[in-house]
Amino acid sequence: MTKDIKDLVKGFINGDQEAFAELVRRYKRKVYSLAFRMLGNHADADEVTQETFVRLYEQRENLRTVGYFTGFLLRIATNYTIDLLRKRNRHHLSLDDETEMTLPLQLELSMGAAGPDKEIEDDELGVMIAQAIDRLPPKQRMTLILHDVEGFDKTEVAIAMGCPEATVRSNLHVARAKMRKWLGKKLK
Amino acid sequence: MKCRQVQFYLTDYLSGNLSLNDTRDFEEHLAACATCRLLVQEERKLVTTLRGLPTPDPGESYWSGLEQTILEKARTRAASNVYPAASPQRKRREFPWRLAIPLAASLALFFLSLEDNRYLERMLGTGFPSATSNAGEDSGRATYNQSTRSGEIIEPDFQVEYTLLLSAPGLAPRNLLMVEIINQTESEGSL
Repeated sequence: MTKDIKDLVKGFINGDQEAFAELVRRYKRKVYSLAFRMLGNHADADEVTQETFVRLYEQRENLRTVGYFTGFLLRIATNYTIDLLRKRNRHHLSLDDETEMTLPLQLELSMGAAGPDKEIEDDELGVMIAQAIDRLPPKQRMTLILHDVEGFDKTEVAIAMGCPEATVRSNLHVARAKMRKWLGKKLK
Repeated sequence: MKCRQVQFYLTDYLSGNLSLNDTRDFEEHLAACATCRLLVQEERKLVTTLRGLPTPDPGESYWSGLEQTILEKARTRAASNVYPAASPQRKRREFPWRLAIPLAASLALFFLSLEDNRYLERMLGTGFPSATSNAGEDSGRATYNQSTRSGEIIEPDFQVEYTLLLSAPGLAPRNLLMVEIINQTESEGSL
């Protein structure tokens, strides 16, 4: 039987290792995906994923007072990712890092029944969007990725970012406006 | 609904989180405004493309051993209570004293050197005691009336207790080095 998150969190707080393992299983892809989109390479995304869950393990007592488990977990991941991003200047990555960064991000958008021309257009748009996301400042990028790419709601994003929902709305508005400006006619 | 409100509600509209009434107003505005229609169309396409971006996946070999790796790492960390050297801790930004102190000093000098202290003149008005012949210290209490442009005197509006340090004879009030306003109270007609 599939346990719901509240039961798993309760079990985890009470020291149930299997509950912790199940939480890792359920959230590892989300955390990895978020970190990868922010940092652009597997090594950093792996570091963030592991460190996030290790810190969650250490902070399990704090979970007693937490309302939103997802927001709490994302907060740990977000803080670590932004710190890592500040620490490592991505513009000085080596050529190897660049290869690693682009390979997993092959933007093979699902084309459905679209024809070859449409495929090329969508592929180009996907690449342009990925590049445009990279140009955003860290907090706007994080907000856009959490809300628009990963599909978390405003409340979860606000908890993850440690800011009011109004700030999320504002960051999102600015980030999207920049993206529209950079992508120009491609979106019309 | 106006264009600015459309921009404000756009995220909620695209997520389907707008109330029925607001959705109706939103769509009524869109029907009448080509600029907002274009904005919504572009933003919808952007969000749809963002949602459709492929999920990064390092492969099953990575995922399969992850829980165990994390669990072992967490237990080791808990046992030794050691944080990784590379672990970035958020640093508090220090207050920029190097900038703040010279800036504060410059501002203080600027205000002290103002030739025409209009605030002082407005506070002390015409009832300000003459400083043409006295040097030293002076203090007192005065009630000042406000007058209109036509010269009509209206109700007293404030009372000032003051101490003057007259640095030199012959200076006009606005040139006095220091005026300490001890107390300023709103007049309630009883002065």
